[in-house]
Amino acid sequence: MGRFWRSLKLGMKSLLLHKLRSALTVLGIVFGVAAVIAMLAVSEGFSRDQQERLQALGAVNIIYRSVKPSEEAQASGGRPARILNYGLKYDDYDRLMASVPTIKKALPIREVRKEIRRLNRSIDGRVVGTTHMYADFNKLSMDRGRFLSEADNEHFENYAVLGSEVTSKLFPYEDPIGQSVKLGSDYYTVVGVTKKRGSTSAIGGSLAGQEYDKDVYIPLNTCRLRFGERLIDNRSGQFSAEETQLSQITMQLGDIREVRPSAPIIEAAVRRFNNHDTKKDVDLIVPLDLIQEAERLAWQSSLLLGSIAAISLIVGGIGIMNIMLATVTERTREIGIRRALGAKQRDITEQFLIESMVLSGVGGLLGVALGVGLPFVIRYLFPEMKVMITPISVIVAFCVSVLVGVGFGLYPARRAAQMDPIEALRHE
Amino acid sequence: MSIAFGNRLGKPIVRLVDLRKQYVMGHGPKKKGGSDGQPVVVHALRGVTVEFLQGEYVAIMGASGSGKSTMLNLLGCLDRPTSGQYILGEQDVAVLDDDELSEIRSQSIGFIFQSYNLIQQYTVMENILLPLTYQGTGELSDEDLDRAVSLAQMVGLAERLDHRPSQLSGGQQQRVAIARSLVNDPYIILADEATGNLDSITASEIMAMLEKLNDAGKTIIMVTHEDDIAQHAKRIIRMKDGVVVEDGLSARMLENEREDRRVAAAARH
Repeated sequence: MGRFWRSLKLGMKSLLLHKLRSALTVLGIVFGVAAVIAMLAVSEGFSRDQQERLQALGAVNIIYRSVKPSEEAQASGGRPARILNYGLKYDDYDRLMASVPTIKKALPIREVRKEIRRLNRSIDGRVVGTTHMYADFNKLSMDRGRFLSEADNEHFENYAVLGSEVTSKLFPYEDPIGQSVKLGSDYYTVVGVTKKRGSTSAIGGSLAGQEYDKDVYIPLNTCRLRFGERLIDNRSGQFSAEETQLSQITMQLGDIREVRPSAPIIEAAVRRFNNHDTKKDVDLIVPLDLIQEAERLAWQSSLLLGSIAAISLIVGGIGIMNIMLATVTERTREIGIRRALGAKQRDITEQFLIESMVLSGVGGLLGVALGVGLPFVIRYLFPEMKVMITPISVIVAFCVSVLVGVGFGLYPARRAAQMDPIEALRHE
Repeated sequence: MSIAFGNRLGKPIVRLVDLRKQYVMGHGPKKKGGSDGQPVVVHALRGVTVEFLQGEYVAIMGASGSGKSTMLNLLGCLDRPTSGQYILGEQDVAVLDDDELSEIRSQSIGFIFQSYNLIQQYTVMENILLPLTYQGTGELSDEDLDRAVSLAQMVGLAERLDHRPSQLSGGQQQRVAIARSLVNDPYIILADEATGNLDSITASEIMAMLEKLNDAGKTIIMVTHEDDIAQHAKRIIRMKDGVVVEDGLSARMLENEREDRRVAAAARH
């Protein structure tokens, strides 16, 4: 049996003399390590989720969105209009396509909230007027049928592609392909159904959450023809009218390196026209910036959460130091005996260091078990919360716990070693 | 570090030359004006010169404060003298540093204490092996383990190897301590009031055991204030106020010597 293992075994024996005391000391480290792992898992899960959503927007994309102007912005634009006219125009789209050569392709979108009906069944959803490129831009895949085609748009077809939730609500027992749904006052033939795709939550303040499963896609030209540009809402008894042409233009650039230089050009190509500057009714979103911002924030939040959890580890370390100091005092006579039998100062230091490392190491191992288990409990209790354990957080938390044992055990160990053997032997 | 001994039998094994030890104990009474007085210097040993031979069995006696404990601490390399020489084997250990003194203790000295001083959480076997774990690399060989077992057998505790000190009687604990003091095959065994905590029957058992060890060639130096215990030794050194006031054979040895002379005289007639 090697010297180290024997020291370890004998150290355990000494610690087991006071089982409850050792267990309580270990508990401090257990909670510290578990907190570090769990906190980092929550932080990592959140940041991965955020980044996945941003990646879905596309790092090579630049998005222009129509924004309903705030009250102040409306007021500054002069007398409040009876009909609120705002947002991106078709000519903005044409200008962008004509003046910015780095744009490879662009996707115009018009969104209208409408009731979607099929016989006596209905669902409140979002009608999206768009082109055939939408599925590709938003990584939608088809469950049945097909997505909209270029020809559908050119021919102003009354075709619709349904989201999965719309389909299950309106066509619970039948195949929707070839059937019709009613949007507003017109009927549309269903040509396809998209696969189920989870909703995304809002990003920053600029991009609303997307519920793809509650969408109905129709050709943009059809949307323009059937719904016009003016939306009148008197459902709640209050009359409000809005006039808007496009809700969003998503532009895809050829290369990620073109994103940053192109952003100001794209901004200038829209903002200076149609009073956008004064109305503040458009918003430019550069997902690349958001991704990098999110990465930075994720790193900061990991650091913050990790530091908070690390404080509990340090508190655990102070517990170890406290107990080791008490142990050294209690075992003064034992230290004297060992010194009399030939133990050098470094043997005594080593012995007490091993004991504090056993405390922190056992605490670290149990803490890892608890810290790895905790995210599963969190996932069970809050299914919408994403948690992700990274191996590096487990390794770091364990190593830090052992280092805490060494760091906080060193002072009591040195104190024990420096005792005068004769004084120590006389200690009652 | 090991000590080189020449021919061990009957040779001087320990030589103390004008050994002195002073302790500085705080400060004296405050002087007028509030400043601290001179530090109080206690002269625990005031120049002790004595020699111990290989195979001797010596009792050091004296009243409390006579310097006998200080002398035992110096002999056990637990402390360093203020001045003078302490030659153990052929080396002056008075000038060694803390680590070197520890090495000497682990290799050349065996301790037996009044209150046994076993490590409570260790078994009998682990307690006996303890001095060996502080030698060199601290690795224990199979021979070390065999030696510990045979020492336990010698003191009659072979069946109790896995027992803790708390499961043993005082006499048994002292026997473990004796086995422990022998495990490193020391040059001298230092016994500090080894029977002080024991009843008279157990005490005489322990003394018999020490005598047996001495008969086997071990050098034993014990400190005691009990005259009858001291009489088990062959030589008695009496101390007073830090100096040796008497150094001679014990009553038992004097009696033996007289008997030898009587036998020799009778043989001549």
